[in-house]
Amino acid sequence: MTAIAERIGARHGTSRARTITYGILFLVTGLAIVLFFARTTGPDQISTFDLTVRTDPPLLLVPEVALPTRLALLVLAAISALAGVWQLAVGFRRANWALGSVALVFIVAFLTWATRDSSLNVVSLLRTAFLRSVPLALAALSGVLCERSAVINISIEGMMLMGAFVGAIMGSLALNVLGWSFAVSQGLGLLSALGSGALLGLLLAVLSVRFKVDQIIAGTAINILATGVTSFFSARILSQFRFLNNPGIIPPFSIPVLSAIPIIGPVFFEHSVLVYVMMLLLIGIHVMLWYTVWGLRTRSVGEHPRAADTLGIDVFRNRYINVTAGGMVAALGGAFLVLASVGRFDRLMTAGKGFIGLAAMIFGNWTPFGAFGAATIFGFADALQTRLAILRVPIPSQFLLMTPYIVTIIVLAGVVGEANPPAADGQAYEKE
Amino acid sequence: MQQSPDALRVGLVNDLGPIDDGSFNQYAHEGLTRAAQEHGLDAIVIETEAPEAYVENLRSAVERGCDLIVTIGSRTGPQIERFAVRHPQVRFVAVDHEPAEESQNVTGLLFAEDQAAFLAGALAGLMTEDNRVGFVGGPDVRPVRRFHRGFEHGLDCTNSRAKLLETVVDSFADLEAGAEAGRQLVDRGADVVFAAAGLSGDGALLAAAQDGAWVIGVDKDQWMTTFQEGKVEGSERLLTSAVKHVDRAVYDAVTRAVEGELRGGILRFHLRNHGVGLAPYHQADGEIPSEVKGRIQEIADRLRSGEIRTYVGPDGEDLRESFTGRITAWNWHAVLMPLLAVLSALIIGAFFIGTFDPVVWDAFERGIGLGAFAVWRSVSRAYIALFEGAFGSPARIVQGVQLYMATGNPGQLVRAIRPLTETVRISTPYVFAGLAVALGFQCGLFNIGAEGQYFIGGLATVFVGYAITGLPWFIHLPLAMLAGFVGGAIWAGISGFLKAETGAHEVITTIMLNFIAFRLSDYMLQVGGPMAAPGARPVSPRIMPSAELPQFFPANPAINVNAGIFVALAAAAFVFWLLFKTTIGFEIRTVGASPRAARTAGMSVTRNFILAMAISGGLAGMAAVHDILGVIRFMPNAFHSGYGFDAIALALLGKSHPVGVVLASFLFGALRAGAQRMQAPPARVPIDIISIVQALVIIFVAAPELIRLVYRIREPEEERKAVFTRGWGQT
Repeated sequence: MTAIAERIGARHGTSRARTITYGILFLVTGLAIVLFFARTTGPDQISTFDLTVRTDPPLLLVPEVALPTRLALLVLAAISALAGVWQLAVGFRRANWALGSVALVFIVAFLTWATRDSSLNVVSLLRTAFLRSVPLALAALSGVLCERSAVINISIEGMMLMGAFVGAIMGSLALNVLGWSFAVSQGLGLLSALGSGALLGLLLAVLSVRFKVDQIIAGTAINILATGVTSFFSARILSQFRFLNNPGIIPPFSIPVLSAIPIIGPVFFEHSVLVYVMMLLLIGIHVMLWYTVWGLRTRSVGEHPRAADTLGIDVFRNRYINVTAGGMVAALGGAFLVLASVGRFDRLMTAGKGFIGLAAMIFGNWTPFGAFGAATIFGFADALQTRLAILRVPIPSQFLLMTPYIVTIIVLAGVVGEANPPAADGQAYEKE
Repeated sequence: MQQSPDALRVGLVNDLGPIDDGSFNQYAHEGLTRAAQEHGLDAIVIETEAPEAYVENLRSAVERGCDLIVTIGSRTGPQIERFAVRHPQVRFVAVDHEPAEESQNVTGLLFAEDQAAFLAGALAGLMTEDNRVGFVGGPDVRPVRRFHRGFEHGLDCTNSRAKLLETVVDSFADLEAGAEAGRQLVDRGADVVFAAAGLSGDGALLAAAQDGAWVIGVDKDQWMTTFQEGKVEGSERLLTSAVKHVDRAVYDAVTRAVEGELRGGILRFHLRNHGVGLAPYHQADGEIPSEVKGRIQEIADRLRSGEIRTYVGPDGEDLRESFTGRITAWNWHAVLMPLLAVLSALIIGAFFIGTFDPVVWDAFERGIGLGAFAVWRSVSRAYIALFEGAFGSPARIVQGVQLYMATGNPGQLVRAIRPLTETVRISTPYVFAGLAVALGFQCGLFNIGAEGQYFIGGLATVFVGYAITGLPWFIHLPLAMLAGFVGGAIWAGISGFLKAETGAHEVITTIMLNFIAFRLSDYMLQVGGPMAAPGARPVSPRIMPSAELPQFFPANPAINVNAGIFVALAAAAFVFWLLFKTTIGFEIRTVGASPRAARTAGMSVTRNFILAMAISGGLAGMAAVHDILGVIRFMPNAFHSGYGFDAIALALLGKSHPVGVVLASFLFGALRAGAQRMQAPPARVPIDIISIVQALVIIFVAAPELIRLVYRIREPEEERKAVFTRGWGQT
């Protein structure tokens, strides 16, 4: 009885202690901006932010923004300090949003400091960040689909790898062996990738729903299987027949009106079709989960399968369908890497992206938009580290790359933010 | 409150059912009545008719001024504990309940069910004619487990050829289901049936007795109760009953209270203090040969004197210690399944090798026969290479031996056994990593972060290895090894701590810590990094010779098998000892089985999570110790070890048991060593085939139904389903 009460409390709790922690955190952030950034800045240093995209010919000419570094930093510090005072005195109603905003302020401050006496192309940074976040977001969406119906999917990594591999080989086969047209070949590659993801998703569903194998073990097995199969074929076949690993890259497509918007246009709307597919999926899954009968059923299966079963919902069927769909979404992420980004399959090319997507899903609190937001943060950290190397910032890139993982642990530990997984997540359902 | 003992007011609150239930309620009542009469106590009885009323009844007993409350606690333990804390002035005596450590005023009465059941089993072993004996178990509670295991061991004691057929009824109160279970056992050939399942068990006994089998009762003398002193059909088939003398125990506890000697904690009742035993043979007396009776008497005496033991643990676990005992008691089904899993995985691996080979495709273009031959050659070549790469070519070993005999030159022999040494070398870190994950599983933790712990352990061990100079080896080497262990332990300890304190799921935190460890070691070892050697290669400096693990063949630098294997085997022995022979291990396993139960039993779940995770990480760190101090002698940047996932396969295959893990490690070590040879000409099979085999092994081991389906193996009666992990938010 007490356990339930505690859980419920945890779910709705922005406790007093946390309110104070946040307030202090905001104050400390302001202080840190002053101490670490403003103090080491000379009075006449200037940070320049470039907002144009170097396209040929230059389509949009947006003026550069030049800021006096120290002043800008002090303003940013003041904003976080004020937020801290407000939080302690009155309290933000949506404390987590405030936390996000302060974090953003900190990042801007960091960038301002890093760009002192130099210039940073913000649009290209954001563009790269967004592009890098696409596979992560797809991985995270896959996780959302599966876990909303209470099946933990840690094999996203393996499904992505398989999607990438199958996309590469089938696309190349159609293009280079059968001599089909580029678009059709790409389409075939994509569909085959989705098919492979569906198969692996189905395998996960069969193992965890039908055979009630521990979901994490089943996921681990699928990861190893996908690694083994793709590496095996990569070594045995792709290395001999190079033409089977050359599907080409889907060219970017600018969305007519939207891409003309300054800054936002080049960041979001001048990409490969697969990026737009991701956006549609994001919205689609959100609508599906919260505004459709199927979504309601999925969530109830995730929270309380017994109750759902009593109401006549087929728990098993729901899980089969969601996990299979989740596999397809993950495979799409893998196919994105090959067909929209790199143009070939490499052994172990996903390099942990599936796991990062999983972290993004948790970070985003098992919601599609939350997961997407978290994925962009991860993508941003990734994009940022290459820029920082150029700006010669004296922070090892490794530590920057570590930050998202550390933040995920902190979120999961409930120090900041709150993790609310579906209540039945990870448990096999036994019919009575 | 009445203080003087002669005016003690005693209450009995039964847990469910009428007071004359012919079972514990009635026995407890009898014991209490006798004590009340003898000591002149004031006794009241409150019957509980519905489970919801139980606590209310306890309260009314307190309100009516009871100083001592006797109750049955097998199902209501937590309620008693909670209630007792709020009424510290009242003493509670609870039958079949193990009090929480911190509770002051609860006394639990525990019985050696295993001893009674051992005698019952011994009798069953002597009475069975078809060597088939049945057991009907109730819901999975400790007394039932002790009955079960004790019966099994007793049966084994007098008749090792007898087969024990087991059935579980998931309720203590389902007469019908019990009867069905009893009939089934008889149908399957059991001619003696023992049931420990409350009312369901009664059903089983009645049904089995009426079907003509011998039956043995439980808890109370069932000839008196269930068979109504011979009035019920089948009473002549009741051999005896394995009795718990609850009346004596209650009488004893109350008497102690009167004498002011009742303390909190546990009172144990066993054969020696007549707390358990066999009931009279009644109608069956004439049917039981006198030498059988003599034998049972003798076993009872020897159990009493401690000459023989039941080897049943408090949790019903098997404590048979001798290795041969273990081997004979080995569950062959448990061995068969992993073997079939590996075999099936290798067969599917062969399919991959044979199907996806360009040479085979060419051959098929020239004809079916040629193609089939090419498939055979491709597969056989690969698996022969696998075998020779793992164990060496027999012919070359024989040659080497001959040369050594003839000339005394061991060179060729050493070269010939190199594959074998490679197998041992590769197996060594597997043992460590597999033990790491297995230990986690035993505590209900999924340590998926062996990889990261390996990195951190490696950084720690290599640092101590190269940075400290001038130490003799017997100090430097242990120090470097300890550093590796501690490094891994701290890294995993973080996850353990987070899990225990905040509930953050260890799967995610260990994955995140993997990435962090990877970045950290990348930073440390990159060219110009804090731990990098001068020069253009991203590697650490070479360790001092004083920190190196001793080699078996120092003369041949191509052979790297080293003393690490002894450390690994010692680690396996240590984990075995820790898990199964110490209180710490018992707590770890209890927490693993059910954190809630562990908490009720007064164990610190927090401490056990952190401890198990830290030891687990330390073991993963030891894998790096072996690889660095024994094989490569420095630490390269970004060396992808892959141990994290392999270790999971090992722990699953070894069923999380140290011995199993060692065997599984040698199997995988042999596969990996062989795969190196398989990768080379003429077979040229990518080493990744081993990953495929590994994944399939995991799937088959984790889903034994698949194997059973394929090989048409019947499901065993009762397979312990281990709970490995729970959802993200749960503890």
